[in-house]
Amino acid sequence: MTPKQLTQKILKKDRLSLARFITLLENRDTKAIEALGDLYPKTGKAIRIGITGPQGVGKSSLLNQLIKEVTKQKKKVGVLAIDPSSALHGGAFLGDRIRMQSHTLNKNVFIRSMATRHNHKGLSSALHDAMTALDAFGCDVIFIETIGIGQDEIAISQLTDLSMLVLSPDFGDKFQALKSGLTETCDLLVVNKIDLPKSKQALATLKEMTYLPVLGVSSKKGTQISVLYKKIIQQYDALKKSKVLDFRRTNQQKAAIREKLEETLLSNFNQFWKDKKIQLEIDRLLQKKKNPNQITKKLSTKL
Amino acid sequence: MQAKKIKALIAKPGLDGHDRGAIAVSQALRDAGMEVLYTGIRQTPQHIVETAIQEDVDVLGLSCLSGAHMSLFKEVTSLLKKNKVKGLLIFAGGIIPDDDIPKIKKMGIKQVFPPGSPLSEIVSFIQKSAQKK
Repeated sequence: MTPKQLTQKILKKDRLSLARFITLLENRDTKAIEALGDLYPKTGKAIRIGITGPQGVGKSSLLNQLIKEVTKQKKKVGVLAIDPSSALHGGAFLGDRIRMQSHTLNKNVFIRSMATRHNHKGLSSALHDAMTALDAFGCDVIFIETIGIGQDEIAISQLTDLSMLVLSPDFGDKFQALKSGLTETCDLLVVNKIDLPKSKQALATLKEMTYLPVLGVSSKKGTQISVLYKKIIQQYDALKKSKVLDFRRTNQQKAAIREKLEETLLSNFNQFWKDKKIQLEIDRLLQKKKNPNQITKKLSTKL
Repeated sequence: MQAKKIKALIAKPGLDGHDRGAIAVSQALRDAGMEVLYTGIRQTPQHIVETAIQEDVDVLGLSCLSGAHMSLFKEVTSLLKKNKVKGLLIFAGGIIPDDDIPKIKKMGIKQVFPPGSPLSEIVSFIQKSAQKK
């Protein structure tokens, strides 16, 4: 089937075609990217929510619980769960889905795992396009789960309507909470695993150190999940009412365009970096004839 | 266009709870540069087939140690046909008697790897036979 035919079937809610189309987007297939034009006008309905946080805090488990909340209201959920590709061999273990596997047979849930494939921001280069496909497919809510590098992973908040940072009660002390980065760009701070000891202290510390709403939940026990979901929807409604949502959505498109252009630049740069001349310069470095700053200066003129 | 990748789903149909083998195979495929998903234990054939659809995998590995492989594998392969999933390379592993292997291959499962199969053999089998989309 051609990408064009796939898009027509996506609009008719065909899951197999949606899945195949996302694969083509991951491969950055030029025809599929062109065919996205047919889906783009059908988007805008879905709420796009980013979930980020360090690895092991329970992002996937929290998502598993949130999916329950959304589907209770007979809404359609799409999930894009990103895991890292190996820098050594390019392989990946896509381990998020295993926490959400119980939703697999629910026809209102579509979960897709994606590897980063060396995307320079730790997301997937197909992420924005895959959200377009899920939106056109008819999802009411789209969750994006990041790989979880932690402190500086702000790209996700630029690509979603709202994003939350998930922490565990042992995230650190108040000086950790004071650092710039994620705690500034997300909309909601969630402390997962509040069934663990010392979680009250952690919540108090965070509340003291940040302007953002802070909420404690336990994915394991299912505590406070419906409160969290209500909070998300409240925030979304407020964004919509104040027109901040329109602003954010324009910025999402802008960020996506910038990201695509950056990737083109980067791939041109990677070609440049393979040039033999570079190795010759590096050899001179080894002989201590030049220092790295001199070489950088010389090469930068050739960029 | 980016380089295509082989995407594999390792699945455990049925009720046995031991997944050391499934995890070892997942690890080997990952290290060979593939993108690997694992379903976790105690999955129904319906779960496995729906996962293969949503994730659009190129390869499906079924691991079964419970002895129920004949009926479970049959269910998986017929559900795949019913859902019009094409071009999927299927292989199996686990405690499977030699006599069952020809019957399993008739279901459309390309290869069976019994206990003791070298991981490198599984990897090269997939690299040779999988169709990348």
